[in-house]
Amino acid sequence: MRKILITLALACLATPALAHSGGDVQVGFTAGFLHPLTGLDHLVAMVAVGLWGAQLGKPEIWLLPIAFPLVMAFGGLLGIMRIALPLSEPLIAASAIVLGLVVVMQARWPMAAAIALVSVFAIFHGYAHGRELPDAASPEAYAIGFVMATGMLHGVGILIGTLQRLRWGSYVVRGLGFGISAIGVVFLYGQMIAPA
Amino acid sequence: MRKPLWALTLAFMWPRVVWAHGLSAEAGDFYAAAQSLLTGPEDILTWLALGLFAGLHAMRRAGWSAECFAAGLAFGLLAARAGWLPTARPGIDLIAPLVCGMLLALAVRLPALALWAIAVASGLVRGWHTGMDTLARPDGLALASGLGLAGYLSVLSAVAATGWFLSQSAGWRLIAVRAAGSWIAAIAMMTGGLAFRRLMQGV
Repeated sequence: MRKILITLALACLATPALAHSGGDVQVGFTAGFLHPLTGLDHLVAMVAVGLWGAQLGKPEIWLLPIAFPLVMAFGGLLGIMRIALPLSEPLIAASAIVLGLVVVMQARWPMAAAIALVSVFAIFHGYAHGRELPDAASPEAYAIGFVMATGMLHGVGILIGTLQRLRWGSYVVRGLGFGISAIGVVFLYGQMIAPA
Repeated sequence: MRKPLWALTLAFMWPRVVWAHGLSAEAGDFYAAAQSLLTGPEDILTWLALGLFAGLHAMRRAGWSAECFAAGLAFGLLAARAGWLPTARPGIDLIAPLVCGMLLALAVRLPALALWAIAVASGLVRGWHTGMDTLARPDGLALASGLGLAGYLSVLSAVAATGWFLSQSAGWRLIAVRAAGSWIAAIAMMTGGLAFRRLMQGV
């Protein structure tokens, strides 16, 4: 514990390094990393995947984050190629509602069904990101940042999901699921009703 | 024990003049090729994917994939410089990390010959691309040596690290390596898509 505290204290003391402060790789990585973090509907759905994985326990807790990036990248590929995929935005909002609800209900689905549900939504999330991808200065760095941020969001969900080991923890996790669903409803309202 | 450690840490932190890049001019191509493999995102992705995937296999056969990769790199570079290969298209070099990442995510273990063939092919394509990028440099042999050595050491390090990591008892370790494979495949898929779109747009 003491070693960790000392390491953290030293890390806090570190001053910013100004060497190699530019370049395509850094710009591409930053843009890619921030992309999944700046859209609330995407962000909450990815956290919900982690929360649900934590509720389902082994092996889903690990398999969902393995399946999600792969399927999402496939969806991204469709978006990059400008292949039409209808209703992507409403379905992204719906993903937040559904994934939030399964967290609220602590749904115990079979592994294949859970992976299938998450994969279907992952395609639409990836598709939306693929459509919005800029011609990044360094596509590799952009994709690395993008995938890392997505994985990190799953990790955050899993980490929060471990709270359910505590007596009051499951209420917190289910409350977050409810919040995620509510955010999904707001986005769906924005997508479907407001324009009409 | 603590005092020498503190002294060592302070010594490392002490600012001083550094005579960097004090190497002879002849060594330039050797180090340039080695550096390119260790700094380019697509280069790192290639050897990391191969190293992690090979590390999934038994060490005896996994270790040889480093030699195969290095040989592929050197041959690919020299063949590209000799004009035996056509102009490298962007995105083709991402097929190897995509395949290795997918196989790793699925935890597929291949026969030795198939693993070595993948290692040679990965090296060949990477060397081909590096060869095309370095046509202006004079010393092909130095470039091939630098690239081959860097490739050998990179893959060998990744194989050894993965083998050690998986040899520990915790069951989540294989899942973590598989997740890394999934990430690598996802990155390669997206980057390949972007490269393909640029190609279609003529950028």
